[in-house]
Amino acid sequence: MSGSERLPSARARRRLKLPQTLAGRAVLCAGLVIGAPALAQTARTVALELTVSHASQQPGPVDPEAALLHEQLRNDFRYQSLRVIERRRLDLRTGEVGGLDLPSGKRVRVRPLHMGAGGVLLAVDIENTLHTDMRVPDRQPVVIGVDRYDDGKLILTLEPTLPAE
Amino acid sequence: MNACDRMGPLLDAYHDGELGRLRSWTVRRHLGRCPACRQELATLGEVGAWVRDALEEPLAPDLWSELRGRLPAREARSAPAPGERLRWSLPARSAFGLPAFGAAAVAAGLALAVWVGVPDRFVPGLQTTATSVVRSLNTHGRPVVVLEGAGAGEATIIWLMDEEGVQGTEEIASVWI
Repeated sequence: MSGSERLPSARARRRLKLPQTLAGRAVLCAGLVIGAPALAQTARTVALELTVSHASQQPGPVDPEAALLHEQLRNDFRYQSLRVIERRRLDLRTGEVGGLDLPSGKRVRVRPLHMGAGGVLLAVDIENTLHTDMRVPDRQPVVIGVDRYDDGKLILTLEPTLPAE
Repeated sequence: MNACDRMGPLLDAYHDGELGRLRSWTVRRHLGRCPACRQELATLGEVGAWVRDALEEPLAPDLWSELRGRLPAREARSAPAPGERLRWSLPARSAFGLPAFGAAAVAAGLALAVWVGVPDRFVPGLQTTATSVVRSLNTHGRPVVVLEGAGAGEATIIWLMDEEGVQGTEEIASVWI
């Protein structure tokens, strides 16, 4: 086997190499241009703070951790006490499902569907109770009064924090 | 358009008791947090009081004689008795120094603006707009109240009612948890 038969000459290699390099660069650039936003989108995560609270008819204090929730509810709903039961932070990519279990045993599942300037499009499912799609602006809470529990009501609060652009 | 802009047309209707229970609740909810709109509502109340006071002012004893003297003779002949005319002429007085017809036209325009221009933000059956937070909702048949957050920091509230039905929503803060 002679090398001259199998390999192109140096001149021929140079002639071949230049167009291949340009084509490769073009493909690479196109890939970056097309793929970068998609990569960035999949890499971005939304921080979702889920808080489970319990508003009760029993006289008692308002949990300091529930002070903001109390501000949102006190003009519209009557209760005697309010406490935070659980607080959980989920960092979710688009399409990823996260969740928690309510004290009542029902499973809550959340899934970011899209992130954009207007906020995050969230699908929220509470087992056999509620399914909703919401476009939630950055750091704007959504309060869901779910089920009766003990002598009061379970309240789920979701608040997204979007990643910096 | 901020929350107060959206509430503006509703305040008039709220003041006049023309809103339904749920919209009234929406307005009360906003009023509970917005001193500017509370002041606006108080002003509406004051204006109403001025109008009522103005309507109750006794007329000058010789007013009808003076008016009748200005009317053409034929109209004067067919005019009802002074007492009868007085009953019907009182509501036609201008409320704010406008001619009565102008005031009526303004009132009709406002009523039309309230009827046409108020977005249906309270969504017992979920009627979404481009800026709505809640886009779709399935509560498996349970009654639900949705209060869209009207501004930064104000929560959107989705409140699932108990199976027994909507607990009294007539009064502010009357929904027991």
